[in-house]
Amino acid sequence: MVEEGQLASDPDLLDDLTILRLTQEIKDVEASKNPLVGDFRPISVLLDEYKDTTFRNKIKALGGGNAGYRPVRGDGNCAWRAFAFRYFELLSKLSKEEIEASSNGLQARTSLLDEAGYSDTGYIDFVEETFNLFQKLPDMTPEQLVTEFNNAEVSSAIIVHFRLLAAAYIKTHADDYIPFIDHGEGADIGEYCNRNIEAFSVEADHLALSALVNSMITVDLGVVYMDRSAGDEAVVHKFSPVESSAEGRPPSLMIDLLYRPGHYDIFYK
Amino acid sequence: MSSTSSRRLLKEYSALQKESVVPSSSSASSMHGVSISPVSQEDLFHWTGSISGIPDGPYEGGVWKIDISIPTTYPLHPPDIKFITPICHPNIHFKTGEVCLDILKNQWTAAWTLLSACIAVRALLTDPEINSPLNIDAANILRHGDKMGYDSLVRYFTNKYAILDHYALEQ
Repeated sequence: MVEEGQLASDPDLLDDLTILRLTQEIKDVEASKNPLVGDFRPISVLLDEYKDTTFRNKIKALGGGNAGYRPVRGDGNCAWRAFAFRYFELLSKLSKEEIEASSNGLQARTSLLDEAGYSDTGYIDFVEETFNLFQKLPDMTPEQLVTEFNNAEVSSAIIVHFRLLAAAYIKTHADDYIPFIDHGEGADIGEYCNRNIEAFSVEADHLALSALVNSMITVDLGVVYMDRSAGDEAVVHKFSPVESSAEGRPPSLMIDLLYRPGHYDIFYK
Repeated sequence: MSSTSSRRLLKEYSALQKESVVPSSSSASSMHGVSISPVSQEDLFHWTGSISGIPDGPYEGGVWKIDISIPTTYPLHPPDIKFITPICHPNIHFKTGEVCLDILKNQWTAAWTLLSACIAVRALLTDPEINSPLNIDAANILRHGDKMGYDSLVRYFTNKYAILDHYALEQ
């Protein structure tokens, strides 16, 4: 083993493990300053963060009416946690029957995990956590839901469930995804999912979001891209499930996320 | 996260017990070449076990004792698997027994189990990744294409430390 002191003085000696550990430490310190899911803020708060005209114009363009956002901790799981929180927040406004229909609809998707070859010892705890929350949801206040999501044990388990669902969708629909993964070196779907979707704390890419939406069926996702690209309005990328609606299908939901390079928060129109 | 992890570990433990009627029996007989169990029933966060070498290769006949420590955030984060019996392998540190395997680091998935992780470690034995070596000497020999030299070096250390007779004597 190389001594710690040597590592600090000679950057060439940093091996992959050390880099990984140090990166994680930086992330952890940064992350612990913010709650997993924060409180709603009016969109105008964002103006205080930016001097850049492009950003300010785009923020102002979003700012009509009650627009706002809810910050989510930037720990590599932000898109997943933002999506999961907003999913349950939207559900919590529905009737008990609609919540139950949604729960049943999602439960039916568990078969994807089996089809993709996951062992149930591996996934069952995470799936159970999601459906525990479904059970409690009709009696929860909005504040209780925020508290519940700030319990890392609960929201991280739900994130793993959603990550596995998205990965399972890709694995069971490999033909649809191979063209986006194969860059001429031969694609390995399993390795792609492992590296980019299943691994906890790895940020969601475009394919991950597409697969998540397809795996859930009942959610449409809009991502507002708040970046430096030209224009006075942020571009919105829409993700809609491929599968068409079935009879007796649970109500569909519309989730909006606010993307700023490297990070996702929840967006409220 | 410790209640989630305890629950999960308990499930894995009972699944393993179901799989082999005599859970603490000698490792080498196990179907997948891996045998693991908790060090004590009171502490499910520390396991120990053994990995046997894949036949038809320089690790054939060897049995390596491993130590598995499990973080309280398991299974969101990977278990720490170390070789106790010295082993000569490009991705395993000869002295500390540390294993460099992506799925035990940044590519860990919560859907993996302790057993599947150990099976992956066993597969690593005959499928080394020479670009991330922890044993530079072993990696260099392979990198220069000296398969025969590599095999005989590995074989030497397998004979020296991991053949069952020696293993039994050390216990």
